[in-house]
Amino acid sequence: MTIHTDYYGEVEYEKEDLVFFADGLFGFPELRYYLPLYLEDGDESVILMQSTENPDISFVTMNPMSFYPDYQPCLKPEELSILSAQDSGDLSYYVICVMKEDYLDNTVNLKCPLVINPGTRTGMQVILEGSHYGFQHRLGSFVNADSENRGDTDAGSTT
Amino acid sequence: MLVLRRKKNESILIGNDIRITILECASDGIRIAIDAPKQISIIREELSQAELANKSAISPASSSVRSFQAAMARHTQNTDASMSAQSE
Repeated sequence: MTIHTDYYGEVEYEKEDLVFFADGLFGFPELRYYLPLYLEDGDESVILMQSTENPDISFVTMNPMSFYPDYQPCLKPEELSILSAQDSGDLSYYVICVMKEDYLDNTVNLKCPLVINPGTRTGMQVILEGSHYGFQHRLGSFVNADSENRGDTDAGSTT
Repeated sequence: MLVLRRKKNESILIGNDIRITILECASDGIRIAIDAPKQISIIREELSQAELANKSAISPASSSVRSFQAAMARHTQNTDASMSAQSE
């Protein structure tokens, strides 16, 4: 199968490459299949999640461990069961990024990660309850090496 | 803002056709039941925020995505370099 993307033009993929979100993402319940595209071979910190059902819809996501190794999302038992996982640590997490002119001003949504079971290639977007993670953390609060603020205070958050 | 104290199984009425009943109180949250006409939308506030957050993130320009990727790659290299410098 092929899909036309803004970033790569025509991309060939197999059904096995897709990640299936049974409920879609928040605000996009009808789009259930996404093709993860690495922007650069060997760099897994930034991944484009491209809808295969609507070529106009894609999300830039980041592996939160690449900039915030202390990120520890904890899923509810019913969420773990939907993803056929025993433990939150068995799953992969990607956070959606809002792009700004300066990449340090980009914000990441740590409260609503895409959670994927790499074994079954199924995923869901969750809202982490009772956590101090917010919808908009400035990326610069994590990746600036000089910064004392690792983003685990609410300083980078505007929830 | 109106603030009321209610106990388990007590209700409040909003207008003529919305009733909110407290079903259960616990330290980690309360359960409430809402009776309202079908045309009234009821969602958890976080869900509405989550939808808005996703909508503000869709399909950024490919040029900004590429420059972002390049910047992150540089950052990763710098981090790796400083880590190996520390370990020496």
